[in-house]
Amino acid sequence: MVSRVVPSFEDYREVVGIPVWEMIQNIARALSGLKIIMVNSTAVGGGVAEILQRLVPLLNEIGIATTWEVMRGEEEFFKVTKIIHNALHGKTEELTPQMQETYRFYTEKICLRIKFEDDFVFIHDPQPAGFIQAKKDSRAKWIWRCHIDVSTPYRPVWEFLRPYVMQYDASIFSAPSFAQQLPIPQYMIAPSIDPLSEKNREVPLKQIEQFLEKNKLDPQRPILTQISRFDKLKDPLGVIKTYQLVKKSEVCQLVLAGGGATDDPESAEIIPRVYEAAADDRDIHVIELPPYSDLEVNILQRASTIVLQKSLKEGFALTVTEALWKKKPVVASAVGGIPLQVIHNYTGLLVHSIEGAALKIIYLLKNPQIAKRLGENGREHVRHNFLITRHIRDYLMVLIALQHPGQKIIHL
Amino acid sequence: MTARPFHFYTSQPLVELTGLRAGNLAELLEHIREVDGSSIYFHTHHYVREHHFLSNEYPSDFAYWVGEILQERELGEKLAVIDVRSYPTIRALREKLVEIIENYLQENGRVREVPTGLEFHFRKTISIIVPTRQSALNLSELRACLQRVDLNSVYYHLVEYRIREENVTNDFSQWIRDNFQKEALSSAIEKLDPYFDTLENRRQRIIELLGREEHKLKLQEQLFRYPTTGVAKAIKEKNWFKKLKSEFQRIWYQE
Repeated sequence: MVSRVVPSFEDYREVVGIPVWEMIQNIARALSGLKIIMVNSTAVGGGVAEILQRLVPLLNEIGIATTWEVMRGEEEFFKVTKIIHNALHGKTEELTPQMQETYRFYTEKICLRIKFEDDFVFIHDPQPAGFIQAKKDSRAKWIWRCHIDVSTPYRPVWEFLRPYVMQYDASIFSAPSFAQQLPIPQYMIAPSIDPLSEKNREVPLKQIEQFLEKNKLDPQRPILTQISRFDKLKDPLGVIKTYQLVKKSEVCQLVLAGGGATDDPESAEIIPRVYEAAADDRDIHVIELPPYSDLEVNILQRASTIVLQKSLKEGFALTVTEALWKKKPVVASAVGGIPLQVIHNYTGLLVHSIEGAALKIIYLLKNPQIAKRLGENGREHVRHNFLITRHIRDYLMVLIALQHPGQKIIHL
Repeated sequence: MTARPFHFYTSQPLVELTGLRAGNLAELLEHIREVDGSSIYFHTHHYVREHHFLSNEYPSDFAYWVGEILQERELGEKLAVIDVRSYPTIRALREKLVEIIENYLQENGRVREVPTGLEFHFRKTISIIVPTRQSALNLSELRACLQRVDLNSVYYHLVEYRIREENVTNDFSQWIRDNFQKEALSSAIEKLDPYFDTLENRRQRIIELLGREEHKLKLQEQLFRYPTTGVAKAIKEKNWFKKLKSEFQRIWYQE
């Protein structure tokens, strides 16, 4: 496999345009000389690590000295933080006094290993949130960056975490519905994709054709695709029913691709049921992707005629962002962060049922010009609002806002 | 007279969550009355900025939520049709929103609740104004700069300037009027509605208007370069040029 050179900030100039590219540098110039430290709980795997792997070098490149520390804890600690994580997602979980003590003990112990000598400290997610105790000995502004859906947290656990969060200078959430009652500023920064990453870069047509041939997909017939881990909330069985309704009037194939079963017993149940539902139809392709299948995901999205995201519940749904960036017409459920991306009839079509999804797919297959227009609008929407360059700009603006507390208009 | 240079800036929005949410019209009204002006500004303007490529049926978050989520279509339409340009201040715009919702509540009396998860979440914005490298000394340079800047810059000078300065005009029209006394051109730019069209379309229209002005000036120059010819003399004496000019303006500045 040919290794690819990591893109530099210069490489994004063509993607976002010179004015935006220069604007980010102008903002960075106003912050030059300042230092940032990012702290999270994992170096690889998961969305936070993925975004930090790209953000940290790019911030350094534009003149903001940024370091990244990964907290190293014991298994006992991570068991507790897993409970906190699930509870913030809305699951009813008991956080016993002993567990609370474990959290306090480890955050105090681990944070002693990190030097907070920078101007800004970004603490990502609940695992290291307790590091705020080091604020008293630091001159930095502290920011808590919450990446998870806290729209309906399990209250007792949120109330345990809240006193920590209140001590920060600011917090950042990913969607309007994640806002909390807090005495500190709560900024909203949507997630982003990297247009130059393996998952989103341009792929030669030849490579796409080879992939289709290998997976016995017919390039002459429309391909409907949903890429998601096999999870009840992504409704893969609903996707198969949708496809079956579409197939009554249209020639097409279905691809269901994603990660295998997780340690969630409900998710482990779903894969056999998907295979069972797909068994009688050779045009349903179930592809279980191993971790690090970014290029395969990229190819599948590019090869698709229509991309589906028929989830029952969603966080932000970056798979939708990725499909829109590839100019694909998207038919998706109006849940979670999807309506921020799929603006009905402009950048895609929103649906509320299996029947609705089937109807919209048939409509797009019969009207390729409309599908093309939605795809083109979708790409522009992502270019302006959901690329990593906008993410960098937003982080820089949070720093500027913290330097100018209380101001609504800040002139650089 | 030397024109004051027109410096292009770009306005970048940092969105702040307020933690306030509304699940019905009464709560929406209560929060509209109390929230920070920057929240009213955000919810009536962010469509213009974020959806560069589309004009929306509902140009404000309030109208969209009321019409599409709360399913109070009549009120949604009433809120959507508010001409934001006719309210020079956010205070005046807030009062109008309150008046429309209050009247509707009095007439209809019902308070419908939205399902959990579809509440209206109040946000507000901090604007960070960043200078660009572009500046213009004349109309031709203004046109060239407009082709180069990003749409956030067009937004700043066409929309945000008017609101921030509590002005009836935009930055482009003001500069043209102050430095070149071209009233017809200034007014033509003022008439462009950024709320019901895309920023890109508005940008192209301004570029077009400036191009026509440039072309007109060239024609004018050519005409007066030959003052001794009988034709030019006759045109001057009979005031034809003035008539031609007003006719050109009538046609050129019509959208």
